[in-house]
Order: sequence, then C-alpha cells, then structure tokens
Amino acid sequence: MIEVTNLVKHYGDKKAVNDISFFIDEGEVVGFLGPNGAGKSTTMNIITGYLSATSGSVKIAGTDILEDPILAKKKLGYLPEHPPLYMDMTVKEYLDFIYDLKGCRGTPKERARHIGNICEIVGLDNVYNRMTRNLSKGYKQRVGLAQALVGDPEVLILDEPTVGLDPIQIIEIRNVIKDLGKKRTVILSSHILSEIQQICGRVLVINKGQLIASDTPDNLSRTVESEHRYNVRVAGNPEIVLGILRKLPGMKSVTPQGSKEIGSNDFLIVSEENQDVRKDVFLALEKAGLPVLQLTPVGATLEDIFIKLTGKRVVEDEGRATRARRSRKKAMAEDVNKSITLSDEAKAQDRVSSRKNKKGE
Amino acid sequence: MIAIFKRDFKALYKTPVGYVFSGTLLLLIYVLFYIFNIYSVQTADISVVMGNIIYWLFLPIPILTMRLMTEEYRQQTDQLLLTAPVSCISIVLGKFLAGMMAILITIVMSFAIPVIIMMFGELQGWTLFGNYIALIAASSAFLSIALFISSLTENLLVSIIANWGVFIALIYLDDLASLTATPFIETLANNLSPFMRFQGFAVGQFSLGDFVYYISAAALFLFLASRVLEKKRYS
Repeated sequence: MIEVTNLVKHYGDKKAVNDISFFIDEGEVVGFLGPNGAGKSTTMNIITGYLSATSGSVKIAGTDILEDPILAKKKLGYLPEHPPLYMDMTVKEYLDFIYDLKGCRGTPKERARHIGNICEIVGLDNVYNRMTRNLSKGYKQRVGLAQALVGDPEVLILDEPTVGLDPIQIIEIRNVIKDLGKKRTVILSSHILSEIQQICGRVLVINKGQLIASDTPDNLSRTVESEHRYNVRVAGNPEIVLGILRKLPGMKSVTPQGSKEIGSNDFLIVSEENQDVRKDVFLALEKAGLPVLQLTPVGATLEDIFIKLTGKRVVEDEGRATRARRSRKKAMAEDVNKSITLSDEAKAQDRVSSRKNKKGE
Repeated sequence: MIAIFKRDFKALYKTPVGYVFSGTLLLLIYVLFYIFNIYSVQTADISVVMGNIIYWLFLPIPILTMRLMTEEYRQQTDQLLLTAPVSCISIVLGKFLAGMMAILITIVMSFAIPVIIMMFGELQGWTLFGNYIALIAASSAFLSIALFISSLTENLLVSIIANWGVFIALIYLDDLASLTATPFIETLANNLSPFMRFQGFAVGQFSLGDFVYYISAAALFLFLASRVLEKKRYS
C-alpha cells in the first residue's frame, strides 16, 4: 500500500531523513516512534507530498507521489502536526470546504451524511456550528482528524494525533484510530510508547533520520525486556522487606522507591533473565506477615528501547568507529534521554499521584 | 480551484480585509472623479480618473494578496492545500479569482459614476466601457504580480511592504530608464512599464496590444506564483 524506498532529505547540511525504506501493507496500522526531531514529521510530510525528498521514492497504492501527485493525494488523508484550520470558519463550513477541496462529488444529502458520520466518529457534534478559532486544543485536533477522514481515503497519516488532548480525549481518539484501522491503512507518529503499543500492529523506530527497528510492539518490548521488572508495594518495616526480597533466588536487584502510600513502601524489583519471581515474592512476604498491597509489572519504556537499540548500534559500529562518531552517539543518547523523560506518560502520572499523596500526609 | 475560490472570497469579506480593500479603492475612485470631472473641469470623460486610479492600485491590492497568500503560510493551512488532490496552478488560480471577484465587485460599486454623468451630461458609452475593461485588465496584472510577491514570504508586513516597494519601482520605471539616456533601454522600459501601457487608455484610446499585455502579465505571474508554491516543497 505504501512503499518508501531509500528516502533521503537534507535541510542544508542537516540530514533530516537518512535512507529510510519500508513497506506498509493494506490494512496495517503502523506507528512511527522516535524522539522529537527524529525525522518522523519530515518522513510523513514527504509521504503526503508536502515536501519533496532529496532522493528516494514514495508510492501510495502503486502511484508515485511525484509522478501523479493528484491521484496519489486522493488516496491520502493527512493530519499534520498542527491541524491546518481556517480560523475564520465554523466547523461545518470548514468540513464542507474540505469536501469540495478533495473533489468529492455528491448530492447535498450525501455530503451531509458523509460529514455527519465523520463528526459522529470523532465526536464533533456539539461544536458543529462553532468557529474553529474558539475551540479548545483538543477539539481543534479533532477537527483536524475529521478533515483527514473526509473523502474516505484509503490511507490515513496522522502526525501525533493525541498531542494536546486530555487523558479522556486521548483514550477516545485512540479508540477512534483503532476502529479506523480496521478498514484503512494508518500511519501515526508518537513519542509515547504505550500509545503505539495499544494502537499499532507494527512499530517503526526512527532516530536521527534512520530507521533503527521495525517490529511488532510486543516483540520490540520483548527484545528489550528479557528481564522482568515489577513495582511492589508492601505494608510494614521497609528494612525487613528489603532484607527478605534481596535474599530471594532469581532476584537481580531491589531498589527502594520510598513511600507513596501511608504505612507502606514501594520497591522496584528486577529479576534475572527469564525468571518469574512473583510467586516467591508473594509467599515470602506473606510468611513474614508483611502484606503485599500491589504488584505491578513495569513495562519497557521508550527510553529502554532506545538505549537498547541505539546501544546495539554503537557496538556494531565499534570496529570502524571514529572518535567523532562516538561523541555524536553520546550526544544522541543524551537527546533521547531528555525527550523521553518528558514524554513518558505513566511516569508523569505516577509523579503527580505521589505528590498528591505526600500532600495528603 | 472552485472550492478555493469560494472559500477565499468568503474569507475576504468575513474579515475586515475585504472591506478595507473595497473601501479604500472606492474612496480613491470617487475622490478622483470629484477632482477631475466635477471640481476642476466638468467633463463626461472619465479616462483621466482611470489614468490616475491606476497609480493608486498599489495601495489596496497588496492587502488582498497578503490575506490570500501570506496568511495561508502563517496559519500553516498551506499544508492542507498542498496535500490535497489539487495542483499548484489551481490553488493560485482559485486565489486569483477570489481577488478578481473582490476587485470586480468594488468596480461595480463605482457605477454611480456613469449614473451621475448621465444625469448631468452625455455618456460616451464605448469610451466608458473601454475604460472599465482596461481598468479590469490592468488590475488583473497588478493582482497577479502582488500574488506572486506575497507567495514569497510568510511575514504579513514583509508581504505588504515588498509589494509597495515593487509597485513604486514600477511607477518610476520609465523615469529611471530615461536617466540612462539610452534609447533602447527607454523604449524597453516604456514597453514593460504597466503604467506607461495605460497611457493610451488614459486619453480614451482602447488598444488591443496593451490589453493583451496586461492579460499576459497576469498569466505570467500566476504561473510564477504556482512555481513558488511548487518550490516550497524543495526547501
């Protein structure tokens, strides 16, 4: 459905996209994962024909975007990073305009039904007659998504579709995208791993303009996550708990995480490779009269995946690595760290709730 | 193209831009009519008004093109147009037609002038018709030049000032050329200057050559503007 071959894009000296190739089958939902500035948006802009590539080609359902742009663009629905809204129009006027712009031909009845359907899908019914300039960021994003859906394109390209939405809206939009993905080919970008895990059947990891992995989200986290990590919350004396946990077989490390709930302490436990320590943890603590209040698996974060993937590249390149190269890698890893700590939703939420608890104390 | 034309035309008159444009142009037309046809000499020939209004077009037209082109970049809606299944030339044409529509409507609103002339004198129908056709042709050339200049920048202020700069340079093109005292350059400048081209119309002579000149200038700059849009992809 989408065939990208040896895509390269230079911005002056900077290589924004450096030799990316991939193929996306009909009906696939694929996620672009990468830190800010990795080249996700640039790649999407090239696929949609907004930017041209320095070299390489893009084919949408067999049509080259440069050779027959109009035919190729007819098959595409695109939600750019900033939803392209005309601030002087109401949602209705805007979607009507998009209907005409995309060359859809239908009786007024068909048009109304088509646009009505889309508004229902993305949840725009109650703002239908409002000016887009007065809408909240979340609703603007929805109008942008609605715009991409007009004309029923076979391929949807969504650049960070959940940015700026509140948690409830994020869940809603994710479900919408999941539904859309049943009939269409979807590419979406995100720097939130959990989001991609939930929606996408395949992940393309992009860093510094290069494709560094292409796999199912499960496989990807499995390659990263050969060890198991859990967060365990235990009521009772932390010293004793620590002593018991550290003595357990198959335990790689135990790190106290402090108290997040009155009268209890949290610990991050990491098991040896391919060892499941959950039963042992529970039984040992139970025996000591220390109740386990929570045992939560801690999934691999984008950070882990990146360190693993980019780390691997460093090893591969070691033989011919120059000093300059190494320092560049170092800078890259730092970049990744910075962007990930910001983006990791779960962590942020955790922090918020722990802060609240502290206040409660 | 038609979708863009409709949207842009409506957008012009949904914001003050369209009213500022029409208001300025109408004010200029009526003031000039008062000065040249009522106040100084009382005549039914409005060629002089047309010959003067042509020099004033540079003031309101860039306001239109700023709204039509530059605003599109600023709001990042160009991304929408350029990823929609429409060609660059139809985007530019749609915008040009929206601008032309605004100009035509404003010109129609100046039709009180022939009515006034009819009431107090004898209307020279064909001359008047020729004058209006010439004004429309010249406006289309100016509009497409301004559209081209506005397509070059994302900054609203630069868009307007650059336009005014180019128009003022064009007004003085023939004077500048005569400074060189080279007959060849002078002839060239006289033939290229859109203002010198209007001299015939301004004395009441309709010239098909000059008419064709304006239309071809409009076509040329529309084509260039579409190239600019196309080139944006290669930035």
